[in-house]
Amino acid sequence: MPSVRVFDIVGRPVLVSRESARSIKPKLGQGQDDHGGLLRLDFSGARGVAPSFLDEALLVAEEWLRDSGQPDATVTFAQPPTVIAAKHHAIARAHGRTLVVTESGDWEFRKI
Amino acid sequence: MSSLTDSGLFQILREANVKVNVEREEVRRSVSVETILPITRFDGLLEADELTNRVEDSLIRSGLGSANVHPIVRELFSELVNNAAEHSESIIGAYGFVQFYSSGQERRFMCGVADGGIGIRQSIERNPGLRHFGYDWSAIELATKELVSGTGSSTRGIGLFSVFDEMHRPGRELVIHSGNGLLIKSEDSQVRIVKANLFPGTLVYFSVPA
Repeated sequence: MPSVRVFDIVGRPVLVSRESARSIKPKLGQGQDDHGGLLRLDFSGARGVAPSFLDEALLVAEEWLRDSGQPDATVTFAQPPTVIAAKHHAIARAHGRTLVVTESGDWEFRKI
Repeated sequence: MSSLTDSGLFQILREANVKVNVEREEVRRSVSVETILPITRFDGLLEADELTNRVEDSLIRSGLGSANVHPIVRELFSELVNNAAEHSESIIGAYGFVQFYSSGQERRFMCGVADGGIGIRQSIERNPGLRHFGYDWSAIELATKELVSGTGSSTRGIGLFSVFDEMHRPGRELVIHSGNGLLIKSEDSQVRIVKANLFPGTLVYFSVPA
């Protein structure tokens, strides 16, 4: 599964709109394929992210997984530039997923 | 509401030919206000993106307030500009501002976004499952709940919910005005929802201790 660095795609330190999150999708097919069974969006370099952006980024990732025939695979947000809050769990629930924070601080959206 | 009047936002709306039903108040001289983002017009998601990134740069440059409060200001502001850009359909665009306010020992960030659009009630009534709201104030209250959205998408409806949720902590103040409805969550976490008519549009304002 691929890994892409979101900051390199969006080019802004604060990730805000759903529209800009959409720009990730074409890059997923070009991402490095070195993360086993996880689709990984790397947020390193970003200084902030709006909940709407995160929600759309998860939607984009799920679309890619569906197109790849692996709709139930886990999506990882590596180094998210925000503190986890109720709204992030709400985003996961809306997608039929649960949000788990790993020891390294990454967020895993696992299919329920 | 007086700090909101101090912000100058209502004056800008008047200049955009919006009828504002707020008494003109003298700006309080004992208050010091520093501008993080001046009242700025924006239109569309791209400009909402740019505006939030301007706020980020300006917060860092200003050195005002605790650094751990900056992400709260940035994230809440980003949701408000996203909402206005995506849902308001305002022909006058929307306006956003961020200010740093100090008075005596009190220091706060004050942020607001206002538009002259269709309002929260009409926006969420686009969802076939949420039709026929009688009152703007009921629609505002519903819009602060998780996953309530006019888009009809099962994953949408995070914006105002996340803002309302963040404002539950003591010392934070939230005002949502839309159409004829007004929700005020005061600094002591009490929530009041009343009928009011400041101007025909939507305004979300929040302040957090800095």
